[in-house]
Amino acid sequence: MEDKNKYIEKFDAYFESRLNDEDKLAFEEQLKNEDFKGSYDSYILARNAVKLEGRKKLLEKINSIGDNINQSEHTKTIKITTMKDQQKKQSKSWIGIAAGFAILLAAGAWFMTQTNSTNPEELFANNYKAESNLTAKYMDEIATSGFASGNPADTASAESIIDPLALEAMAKEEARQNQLVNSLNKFKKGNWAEARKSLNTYMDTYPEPIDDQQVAQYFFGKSCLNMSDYAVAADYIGKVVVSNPNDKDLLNAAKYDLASTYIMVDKSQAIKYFEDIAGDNGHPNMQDAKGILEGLK
Amino acid sequence: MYSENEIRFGVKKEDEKILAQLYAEVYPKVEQMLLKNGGKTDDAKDIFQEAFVVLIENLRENKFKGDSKVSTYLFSISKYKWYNLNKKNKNVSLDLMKESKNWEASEEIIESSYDEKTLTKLKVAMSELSEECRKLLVENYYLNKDMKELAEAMDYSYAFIRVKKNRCMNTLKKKLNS
Repeated sequence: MEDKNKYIEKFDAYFESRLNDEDKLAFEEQLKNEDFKGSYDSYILARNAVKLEGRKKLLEKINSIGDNINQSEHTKTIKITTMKDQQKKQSKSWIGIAAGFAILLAAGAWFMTQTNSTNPEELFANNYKAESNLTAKYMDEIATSGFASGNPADTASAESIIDPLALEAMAKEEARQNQLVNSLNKFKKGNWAEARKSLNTYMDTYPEPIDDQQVAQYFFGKSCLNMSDYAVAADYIGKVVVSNPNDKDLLNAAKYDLASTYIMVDKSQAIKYFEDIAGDNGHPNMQDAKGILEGLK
Repeated sequence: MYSENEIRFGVKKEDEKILAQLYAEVYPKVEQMLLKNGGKTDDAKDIFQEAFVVLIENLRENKFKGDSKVSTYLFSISKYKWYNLNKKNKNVSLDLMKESKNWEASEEIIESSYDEKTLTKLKVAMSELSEECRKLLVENYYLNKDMKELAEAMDYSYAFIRVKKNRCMNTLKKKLNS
């Protein structure tokens, strides 16, 4: 029995490409033996039987999800009415107990996901937010700075209207701001690929002013991150952190997203950046960083 | 709204919320594509659900590393499966044929590698295993769960669960050879 068990582990290692070159060659040499080859062939057959069983279970799960979606489409109205009726019947104390229990469960789940996970993908997915509350802030700031919407002449002084060079400069500035607002709008709508393309054009065309270039770099990096392009994301968000923007909100967000990006590409860098955040009392994600560090170390 | 990374991770882990969102987003498009290419609603459901299985397997085995969105990939697998099933059907458009050729290598089709008799034998042999053996083999081999994690979940020592898995495999092999 022991020999047979060893065979299975050997077969597993070969089938899953875990053997080094030398052991792989030795295994393939053994396959020339008919008995050994026969045993390996029936192992492959057995693995396929397992795979079929796994697929069957997965298909049942997907089928049930599909059925639930169809059913919920058809019975949405009925369900809402029934739930309201049930809610009326329930006493306040039960609601209180259930709410308390739900809070405990949620807190427990949060604690588990925030601190206990050591899987980089899981840590990243649990802690990274694709959206940014800075999008609306910058769109508002740029849009209200004079040009991003409306006619430039509406906000121009009497002298500048007369001067054609000033008007041309204003038109260029309007185009620049519109380009940035449009790019941020694409990001806000979750069109990462379009936002990335549009921000790339903006960065190439308008290296100045530096404050808006930093905003563009940050959202370009974040779009890359949302498309799982971690290396490029680290490069661009890193540029924002290194340039130390005057806007503290931007700097804090960039530091946190850079640390999150490094979870996927370079654990030691991730630890370094999260330690920096965890030691910064003024950083809004200080507590999150402490939890993530426990998972990373 | 989930990020692409959250969707990839959620699909891999079979997160029901994310699977349901993806289903609701992509299924109507697949149904429309099939109806335009000679299919019926029932075909669409079968094709889409099988494509969903391929998507999960490919994500789990890191076979899908492309830049395209998970929803686009799922739609493309569905297209490929429909094309593959109807290669000789004139109702299938030329565009569909061209696009689907890019996805030919994306699926390992056990079902077409064996004859009906062998497939039945595989299914029967699995059904004759104990519930515990079936669970252990599926979780380790199909869901790629770590043996240490499984030992903990099933309340066995790591050494014992390895022996148990090997015994289950040997029993399955015996049943297949009988």
